[in-house]
Amino acid sequence: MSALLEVEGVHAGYGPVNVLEDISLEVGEGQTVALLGANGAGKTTTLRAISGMLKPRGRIRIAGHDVTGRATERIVKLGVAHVPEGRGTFAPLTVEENLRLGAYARRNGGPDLERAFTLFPRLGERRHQRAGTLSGGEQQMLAIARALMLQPRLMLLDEPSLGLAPNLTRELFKVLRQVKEDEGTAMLVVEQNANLVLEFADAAHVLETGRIVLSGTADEVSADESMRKAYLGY
Amino acid sequence: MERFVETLIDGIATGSIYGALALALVLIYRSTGIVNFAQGELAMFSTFIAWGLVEAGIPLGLAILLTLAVSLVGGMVIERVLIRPVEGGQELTLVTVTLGLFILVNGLARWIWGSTNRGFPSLFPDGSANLVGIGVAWESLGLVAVLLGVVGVLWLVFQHTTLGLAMRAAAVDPAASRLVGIPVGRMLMLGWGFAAVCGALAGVLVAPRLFLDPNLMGPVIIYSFAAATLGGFDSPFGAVLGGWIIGVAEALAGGYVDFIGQDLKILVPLGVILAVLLIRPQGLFGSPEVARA
Ligand SMILES: Nc1ncnc2c1ncn2[C@@H]1O[C@H](COP(=O)(O)OP(=O)(O)OP(=O)(O)O)[C@@H](O)[C@H]1O
Ligand SMILES: [Mg+2]
Repeated sequence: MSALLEVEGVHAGYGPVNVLEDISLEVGEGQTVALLGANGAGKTTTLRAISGMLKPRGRIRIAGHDVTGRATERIVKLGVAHVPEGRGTFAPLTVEENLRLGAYARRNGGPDLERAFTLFPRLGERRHQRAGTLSGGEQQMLAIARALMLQPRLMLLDEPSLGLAPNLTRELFKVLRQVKEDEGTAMLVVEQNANLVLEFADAAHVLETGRIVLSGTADEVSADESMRKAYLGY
Repeated sequence: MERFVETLIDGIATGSIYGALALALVLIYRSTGIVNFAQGELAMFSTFIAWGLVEAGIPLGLAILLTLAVSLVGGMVIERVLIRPVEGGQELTLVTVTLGLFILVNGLARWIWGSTNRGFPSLFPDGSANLVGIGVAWESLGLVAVLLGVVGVLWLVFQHTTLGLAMRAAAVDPAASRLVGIPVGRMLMLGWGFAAVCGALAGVLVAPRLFLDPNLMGPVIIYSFAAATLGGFDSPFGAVLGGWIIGVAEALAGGYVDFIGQDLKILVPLGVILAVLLIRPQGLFGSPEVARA
């Protein structure tokens, strides 16, 4: 049985600029994998390559399908929900419309708005408000809630806690943990808050200038000397 | 008084035609940010297709329906073939492409149909209905009804269907739309298709009042630009209301202001465009350009 997401020897970049060098990683069904690294290391670029926003070289397989170079909207159909850096919510559309769009590529059943409002009650209170008028933290919750509307098999989360107050960050990770346990959704999480994500991840990779320099279980990576100095600060 | 009311109604009727073409401009501008200078020419071409079908013995109503279907497909093909390659390009490139399309379509129509004037039958019966003592031409009622019908259908599609929601999303943020699985290219094609349908309607509605020739839409497109500018280039309701206001202003100026008369009333839309650009560039209902951090 092969992993849900397999990235093999991927190179990718922007125009003539190459950013990723020979990236390989796997995310198993229901597994949570953290992607760590300094600013500019290539974490966002890795997620973009996986969801088809960039055309990578190498090989990317999702649920056994070779999706290298496939259009984003077709990759989404395989159950891949990418919450991009900077959220990507539709500002002029309402909270409810944003959520319904999250279910656009779902194959079975209509959008389950009530579930989203149960997970994020604040969004329920604001369902008819335009997304652009939400606070930054609320927009971040909307972005996550919208991704969950797909009932994804794999979530790509790019700094989900960016701009959230500490208590909201904890709440958010609680929701993610709940989704993971209830639905077995696999996740590839980019996060600056390494402590937090390592607590909840199964495995982790550390990127440095476009290369993976350290891989292992979450415990192994947290215990690594150089890693601790560089990213965990103790 | 009666003459005033008649002028007013006449203006609203004519304005409905401007509104339909303005709606076409707005549909494309909203979805792709392109001002389609060729919209009028596409409408003229559609009208010739309807004329050809009628000449071939097809009843007018059916001919128009077929024309709308052909226009839908034609608009989509034009987006895919001509516009897609320059999508997201520089403003000047886009303007050049739609101006090129203008010349291409106009030339093609001349080549196929020549430049002789032809008559085009009206969808509506002659004569007028008596509304509270005022005779209102069936044509006027028909024009307003068609425009309201089009707006109603568009509103239903955009506000109450998943397709419409996806089209709005694609217009707002193409990258984020792809991430939720929306085939953005197909949405843009549909936007051009819908626009071509609105334009075709404007064409077959205005043709009976004028003569059908390749310059059919020349004056109409200027009034429609004024209507869209006045209403706000990204607001469908603005386009309709703008169409009516321009139509009424034109009728009043032509009928009441002696030195303007029939010859100079083209100054009305130009004056409106200038005034709007100076005073309220986003138009009555448009959203001002906002840069959000
Ligand atoms: N659109 C772009 N065009 C050109 N270069 C880019 C673009 N986006 C990112 N880069 C470059 O690619 C490299 C990796 O960027 P990336 O966004 O993947 O970093 P990151 O690890 O996500 O960083 P951060 O933690 O700051 O979000 C950087 O050197 C960046 O300058
Ligand atoms: Mg990043």
